[in-house]
Amino acid sequence: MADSKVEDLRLPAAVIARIVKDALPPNAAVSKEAKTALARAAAVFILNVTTAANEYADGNKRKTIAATDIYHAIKVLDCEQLEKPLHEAVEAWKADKSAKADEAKKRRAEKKANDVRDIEDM
Amino acid sequence: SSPEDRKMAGSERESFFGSESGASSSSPLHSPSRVSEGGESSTTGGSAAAAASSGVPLQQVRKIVATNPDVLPFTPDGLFALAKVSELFVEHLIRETVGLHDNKVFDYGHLAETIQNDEDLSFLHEFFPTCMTFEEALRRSQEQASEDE
Repeated sequence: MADSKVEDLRLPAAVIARIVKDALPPNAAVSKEAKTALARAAAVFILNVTTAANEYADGNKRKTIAATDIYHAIKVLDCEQLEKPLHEAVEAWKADKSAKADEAKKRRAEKKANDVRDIEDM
Repeated sequence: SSPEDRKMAGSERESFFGSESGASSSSPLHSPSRVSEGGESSTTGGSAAAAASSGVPLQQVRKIVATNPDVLPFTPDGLFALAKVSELFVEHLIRETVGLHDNKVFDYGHLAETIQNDEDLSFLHEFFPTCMTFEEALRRSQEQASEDE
């Protein structure tokens, strides 16, 4: 029973498979055991980053963990080479989110205008 | 919190990540945008699309984080950053393993060796021991014993 709980902490197999496929040269392969190990390593990594990020946020008297805390945490864990691609990904995500929010706002405004027109037609 | 934060929290519940429903992330019903982004990144190298999403489901990240009850809550960008960096970490680990070995097939032993030989990965050392035969382990413990005398 304890084992099934620990197993839940791995990243999903499909995600690992995709990362591996993109990172390997053609014709190379990774064994099932190695993929399982990668999934577990990722879980341990997440736990370590979380702890470090939490300490940093808390130390700065903040109540939530944000992306800046994650950047700091990976520096602390000697994974600085990940910082630049991470930063780019977070910025792209933010841009995408704000574009979606703007779109939703526009749709709501358009709908409101349509609703008003319908009422006037009655 | 500012209206902008609330807006972001609200949109996180929308379908962009879709992991709040608790559905399995590998099911075809789950987040069609992620499936097509995966296809893009492996063929056209559409890194912008791939970078803006994380293949790692946020629900799974939350589950892992929840094993530590004393952690502060995440902002949406914080959770995304955590999910994304874990993906980048796996990529880093596999690339390092590939770089250190001239193989066609990589197994657990290659990964463990990579981890053990990298000081920056010391937090993983106890989780990924290298494999050795019983004879080798016995020999080493005997060596250790004679050194200690």
